[in-house]
This record gives sequence, C-alpha cells and structure tokens, in this order.
Amino acid sequence: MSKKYDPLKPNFRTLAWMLGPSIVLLCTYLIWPIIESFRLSLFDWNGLDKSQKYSGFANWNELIHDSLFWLSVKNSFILLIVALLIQIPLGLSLAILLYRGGTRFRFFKMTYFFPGLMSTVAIAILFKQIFDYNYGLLNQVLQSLNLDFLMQDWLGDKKLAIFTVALLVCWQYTPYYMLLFLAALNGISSDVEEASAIDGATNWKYTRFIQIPLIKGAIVTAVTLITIGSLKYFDLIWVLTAGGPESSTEVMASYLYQMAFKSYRVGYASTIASALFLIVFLTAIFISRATRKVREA
Amino acid sequence: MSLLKSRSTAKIPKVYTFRRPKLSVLSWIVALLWLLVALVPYFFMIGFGFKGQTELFSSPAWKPPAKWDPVNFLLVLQGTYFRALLNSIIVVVVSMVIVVLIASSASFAFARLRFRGNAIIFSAVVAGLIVPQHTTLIPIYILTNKLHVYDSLAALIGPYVAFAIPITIFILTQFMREIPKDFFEAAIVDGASHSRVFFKVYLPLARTALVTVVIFNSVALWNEFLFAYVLTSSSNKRTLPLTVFDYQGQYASNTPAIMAALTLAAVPLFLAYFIFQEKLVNGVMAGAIKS
Repeated sequence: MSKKYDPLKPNFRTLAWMLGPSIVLLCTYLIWPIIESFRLSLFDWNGLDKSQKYSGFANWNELIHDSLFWLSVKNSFILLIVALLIQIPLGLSLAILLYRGGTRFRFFKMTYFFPGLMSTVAIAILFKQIFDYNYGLLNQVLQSLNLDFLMQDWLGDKKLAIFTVALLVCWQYTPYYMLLFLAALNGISSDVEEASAIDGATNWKYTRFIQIPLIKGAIVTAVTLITIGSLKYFDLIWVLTAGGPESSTEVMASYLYQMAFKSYRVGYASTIASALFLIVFLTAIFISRATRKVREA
Repeated sequence: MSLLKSRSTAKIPKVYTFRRPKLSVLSWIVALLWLLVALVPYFFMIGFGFKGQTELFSSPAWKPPAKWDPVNFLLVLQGTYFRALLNSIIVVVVSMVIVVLIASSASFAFARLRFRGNAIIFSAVVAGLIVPQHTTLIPIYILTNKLHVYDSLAALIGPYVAFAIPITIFILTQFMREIPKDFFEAAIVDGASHSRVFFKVYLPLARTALVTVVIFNSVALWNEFLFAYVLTSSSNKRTLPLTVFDYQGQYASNTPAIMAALTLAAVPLFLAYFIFQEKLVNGVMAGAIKS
C-alpha cells in the first residue's frame, strides 16, 4: 500500500452495492419525474398521441392568467392558515391537559389518537355522510337541540365548503401534533418542574414561562410539517368534494389531477405539477430560513 | 430484591415530595369534550353500519339502529374485502423489506464511510422529503405503462419504496452515527470488511431504529391513496383504501353498507394500535420529530 491506509474509505464495489439501489430508485421515481414534468410543461400533449407538440412557454403563460389555478393556490393557503391557527393551539392545549392529567388521563391519551388512525379516504367518506344537509348527523343533532339557525349546507355552500374541509383536516391531524407536543413535554426534566414549584410558580405560569419556551423546537417542527403538508392535500378533498361545488374547494393537487386524468391536458397538468413543486420547494426554503434561529438555539 | 430496595430508599431521605397538580373541573370538561369530538364519528359509523337501508330516511341519524343487523357487514365480507386486505399486506410487506434492505446499507455508508460527496449526496437524499407525490404522478404513470406493470401490485412497489427512502435514510443515519465508533474500528482491526461490519455489527445494533421506521412507513403506506388510485384499476388489484373508495360507487344507494365497509377497513389498524400502542405511536412520532 503506497498511499496512507484509510480504514474509513470503502472500495468502489462496496460503495456501489450500499448506495446504488437507493440512488437508482430515487433518480427513477423522484428526480427524473421532476425534470420530466418540467419538460412536459413545454409541450402541448393530451397524453395519448405519439407526438408531443412543442409549445414553448405557452402553458406557463396560460397558468399565470388562469384564475382557477390561483383559486387553487389560495385554497391551499386557506387550508394552511386554518391548520396553523387551530392545530397548534389545540394540539398544545390537549398535550398540556394530558401531561397534567398524567396516568389519570391514560384512557384519554389512547382515544384522542383515534382520528389519526383511519385512512384519509375512509374519513372523507364518513364525513360526507356526517355533513350531509338533509340526513347528516351534524345537522340532525343541531335540529334536535333546537339550534336550527346553525344548520348549514356544510359541503354544498360555495363560501363555507373550504372551511368545512379545513376543520376536518384539523380533526384528523391535531392528534399527531398533540402527541408530538406531549413527547416534548415529557422530555423536560422533572427538576425544572420541581424547582419552579418551589419558587411558587402557578400551573399557568409554569406552562407559559417554562413549558412552552422549552418545547419551541417541537412547535417549529409542527409548523414546518403543517405547512408542507397543507400544500400537498389531495385525498381528503378529492373524495369529499372533488374540488366542488364549482371549484370552491379546488387545491393545486386536485386541479392537477383534473387536468391530467379528466381533461387529458397532460402538458398543462405538468405545468401545474412543476408550479406545485416550485411553491413547495420555495416555501420549504423560506421556513428553514425563518426558523433557523430557533433550531440552532 | 425487596431488601435491596428498602435499603436504597432508606439511605436517601426525602425532603420534598413533588406531586402533580390537582385537576380543575375545567380540565375534566375540556378532556371529555374532546373525547366526544374524537369518538362520536366512530360510534356513528359503527351504528350506521348495522342500520337497515331505509332507516336513514325514517329515523334521525343520531339514533342507534332499531335492530342490530349484521347483514351489511356480511355483504362487504363476501365482496372483495379479503382480497383487498391481502393486497395491502403484500404491498406493505414487500415494500418494507426492500426499503429496510437498501436504505439501511446506504445509511451505514453515510454514517460511517468516507467517500467524496458523502455530505452532499446525503443532503440531496434528505431533500427528497419535501418532493410532492403529485409532481411525479404523470411521469410515473407514463413509466409504469412503459414497464408494462400498470394495474398490478408491482406498479406500486417502486414509488412506495422510493418515497419511503428519504425519511428512512434520515432516521437510520442519525441513529447509526450515535453507535460508538469503537465498534467499527474494533471490527476493522479484526480484519472484517465494510460489508461484514454492516451486516454483523451495525444492522443488529440498529434494531430499535429499524422497528421505528418500519412502523412509521407501514402506517403511511397502508393508507396511501394517490398512487394506488392512479396506477391500478381493476378491483382485484386494489388495496384497502381504494376498495373502500370503490364501494362508494358499488353501494351508492346503500349507505349502511358503505359504513360497514369503512368499519371493516378500519379494523386492521385499530387492532395494530391496541396491540402495539406505545410502539406504534412512537414510530409515527419519530417520523415527525426527526424531520
């Protein structure tokens, strides 16, 4: 051996079998599709013909002036904001409640996670029934409680439907963030709790000035996950409303699906797909920049 | 044993005993309220499944069924339920075996070996976490057709494995970095090759992390909808979530049958939850916390 021997340096064959399969699969199913989407966005193609007609940036130009696309972007961000405003405070409150309850609330801890267990499709089908205007559980309960004035066409009202969807998303995902926060709370050393109790901190003060600052990292994680997740919603909306009524609940992913597999405008759908990627990518960079301080602390 | 215990506590006098605070009435009210929100839809779903087809119109939705009739459940069980269950199990198990094999070896390389581009390739892999499945949908659909695997379970394995790789490598690499380097060095000094160190030392030591990633990925794949929706079409190739989706058309006029189908589809995950509760929750959380 002429060169300095480095025991950490693998030979090529070892490296190839260890890394190769993962990299090949990632290139085939993640990286190549992203590039191919961008390429297809430059073509006018229905997905069936042999020939793809090059159309330059015509699709992109159309996208920028497509009010339906911007509506779907707006709806994605409505979902995002409602999710942040409800899931974080609610998840945090429930986590603190479960934490204070300790073993007394073991049953609650188990059952609170139930909404997170069902598949999104099943949740959508179930709540379609619950939100039904005439026969749905929600309106019938309101009626029997003489609260008729609260009865709504939850999924049929153009203005309301997107918020109904957003609330359902919160029902499904809050348990995850609750458990995330609970895990973080349990990670706080009991010495801290004892010390603050000796110093005379009340429950509320302890939560406000000790617990919440100490689990900032978990809150940042939750914000990141909610943000990225919200931009990618599809299953729930597709099954619950299919983007309707009158596109009022259309989101980027459902619009993309409509274009590709219902309208056979594959070139244009690829443009939406590329735009979706860019929006998610830029949002991720923005979040990681904005939260850098907290994460490094 | 008991003697030992009593002696050890006797040595440390307890000056101050800390007690969890008393729960206010408000806490109990909030706790019960959310319990209601979380559970009522499930009671409704199960009860509805036992109702007769016309009961929907004749009695309020919140009333329990007049007669607990399992006929809807039997109807669903006679359909494609078991086929779908089997399909889901096959797809999840095959995907998980492949993911564990290829991602754990890659994680070992990222965590312990020195080669050019290690850090850059690792960050590129982790960046895969944010790629939306929808962006890749059309090219993957085209690719699936070209490979002549459209409408088969095999069509799902590729995307399922690929999209599970970034989170799996991320969690496993972090875990393997925490395994003391001494193990690695000792094995190398004894003349073991890198492959041997991976199989004989690191893979067994990473057991707990492997359990976590398998649980996390399995739950996600078990409920996966998009790829299964686009890459399969015939009823005997559908996974469980898709079968539930198809029931909507099949039993369009029979809502109680749809509710029975939903209940039956939820059974496997709830069973898993009751058996492995802590592990399942930790697995799902690990995926969230680490990313």
